[in-house]
Amino acid sequence: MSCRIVTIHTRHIRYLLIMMLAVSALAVITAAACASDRSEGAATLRVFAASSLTDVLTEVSEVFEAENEGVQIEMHFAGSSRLRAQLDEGAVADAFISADPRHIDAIAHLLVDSSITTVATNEMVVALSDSGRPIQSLEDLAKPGVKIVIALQDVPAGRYAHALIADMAQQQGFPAEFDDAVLGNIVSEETNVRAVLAKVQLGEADAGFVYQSDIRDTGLHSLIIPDQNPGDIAYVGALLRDSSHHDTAQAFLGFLVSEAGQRILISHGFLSAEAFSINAGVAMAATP
Amino acid sequence: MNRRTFPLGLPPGGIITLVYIAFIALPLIALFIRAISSYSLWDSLTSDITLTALRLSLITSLISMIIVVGAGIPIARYLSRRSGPFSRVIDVLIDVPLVLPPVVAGLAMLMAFGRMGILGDALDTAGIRLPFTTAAVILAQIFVSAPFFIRAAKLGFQAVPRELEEISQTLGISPWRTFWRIAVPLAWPSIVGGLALSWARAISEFGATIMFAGNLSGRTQTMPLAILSAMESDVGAALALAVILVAASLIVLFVLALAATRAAVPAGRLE
Repeated sequence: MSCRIVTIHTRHIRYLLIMMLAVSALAVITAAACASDRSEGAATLRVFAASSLTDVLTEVSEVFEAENEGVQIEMHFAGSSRLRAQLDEGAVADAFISADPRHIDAIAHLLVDSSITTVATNEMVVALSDSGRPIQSLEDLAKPGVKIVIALQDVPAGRYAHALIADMAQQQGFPAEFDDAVLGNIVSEETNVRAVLAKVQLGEADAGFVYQSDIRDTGLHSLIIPDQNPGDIAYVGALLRDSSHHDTAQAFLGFLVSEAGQRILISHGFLSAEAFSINAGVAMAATP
Repeated sequence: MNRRTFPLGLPPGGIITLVYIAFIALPLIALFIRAISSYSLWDSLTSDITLTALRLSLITSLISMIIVVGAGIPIARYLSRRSGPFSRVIDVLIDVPLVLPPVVAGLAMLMAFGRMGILGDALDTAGIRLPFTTAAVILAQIFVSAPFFIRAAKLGFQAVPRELEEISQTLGISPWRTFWRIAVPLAWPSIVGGLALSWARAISEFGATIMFAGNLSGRTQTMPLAILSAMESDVGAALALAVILVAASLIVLFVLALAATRAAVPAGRLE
C-alpha cells in the first residue's frame, strides 16, 4: 500500500519535473531570442543594407563604433529587394540602405521621409573570370556558348544590368539582336550581386554583371560599360519610423555622407553621393 | 496496473507532443491563411514560373529517387552485413552530407565537378559540363538526400533475421529470390520510410542547388529556388509557391506512409 503511494508520488514528481523542464526550456529560448533581438544597455543599431555594400559598410561601422562609444552596429546584408520585403513583413531595423531608390519608395510608409538620403552612387561593369573563353569586348558577350551570370531582374543589380543590355543593343557597333543573344547566354539568375561575383570568381561563369565597387579587391578583369548616366545607380538610405534609436541611426547615415564616410566609400570603388543627393542637407545637419 | 489520471487525460509525453505539434503546425497554418487571403493566389498558382518550377522539382526529384533507391538498396544491403572498424568508417562517411551545410555541399561539388574542379578538365574533354544544368540539380539532390535513404534501408536490412534467409536458401531458393521475397518485404517499412525522408530532403534542396546548378527558370530553378526568387519581388507569389510545395510534399509523404504500412503485409508472405 505504502509502496503504491510512493510510486504515485515519484511519478507525480517526475511528471512535474518534465513539465517544468519543458516550460523552462521554452522560457530560456524565448528570453534568449528576445535578448539577442533587442538588448538595450548600449544602443545597438540594426542596419539593413544592399549586399554590394558588404565590405564598405563593415568598415564604416567599425569606424563609427570606434568614434561613438557604446554604439554597436549590427549589419544585415542581402539583396535590396529581399530586405525591403522583410521590412514590409515587419522585420525590425533602424536604418535601411538600398541599392535602388525604388525599394525605398516601395516602403516609404515605414520610413522617416526627411531622412531619405543618397549615400553613394555606382556603375556597372562586366566582371570576367580568369579562365573560360576569352572575352575581349562587350560584343563578345553575344557569342554563342558564353556563360553569363546576372542578378535577378527584381534585384537592383539585375534591373540595371538588363537596362544596360537593352541600351547597348541600341548603340552603334553592336550586332543586331545583341540583347537577345546576351539574354540567351544567361546561365543563372542570382538573388544578389555578390552571388553573381562568386560564380565569376569560381570560374564557373565567363562573365557577370556586377558593380564596379564589387570587383575592386578581387583582381578580376572587367569590361567597362560606357555611357552610363552618372547617378543612375544610387544607394539611398533612410531611417525606419519604428526605430527606437532615431538619433544614433541618423548620426550613422550622417556619417556615411560626411567627408570621412565618403572617403571610405570612394576607397572601395563607389562614387560620391554629393551631386545626386536628394536630401543631403538634413543628413548633414545631424552629422556628429 | 491501475491507470493514473493525468491532467487533460494525457501523460507528460502526450502533452509535450501536443505542444510540439502546435509548434510545427502553427507556422504552416499561418502560411496557408496568408496565401489564401492573398488575392493573387490563383494567378500565382497557375503562372508559368510556378508550373515550370513545380514540374522541374517533381521530375528532378523523381529521377534522383530512382537513382538513390537503385544504388541505395545494394549499398544498404552490403553495409547491413558488415561490421568492424572499416565499415564503421564507411558509415560515418555516408552520413557526412547530413552534417554539411548545403551551400558547402554545393561548393564542394563545384570543386569536384565544376569547370575549375578536380574532374573539370576530364569532364570537359568528355564533353560534359555540369554546372548550370538540370543534371547538376539532380546530382545536388542525390548528394544531400541519399544518406537518409541508405541509413534507413540499412537498419531495415539489419533487422531481418539471418536465419530466415538461411532457411530459405537451404530450401533451394536462390539468393536473389530470397532477397526479394524475404529481406525486401521485411525491410519494406524502413525502405519506404527512408525513401520518404530522402525525397523530402531532395524536393526541399536549396543551398547546394543554387551553388552548383545556379538559378534559371525552366532549367535549374526548382520550387525552393523559385520561392526565394519570388521573395525578391512579390511576397504573395512566394507564398503561393510555398503553399504548393507544402501541399505536394504532404501528398507524397502520405502516399508513402500508406505504402509503408499496406504493402508490407501481403508481400511478406512466403510462397
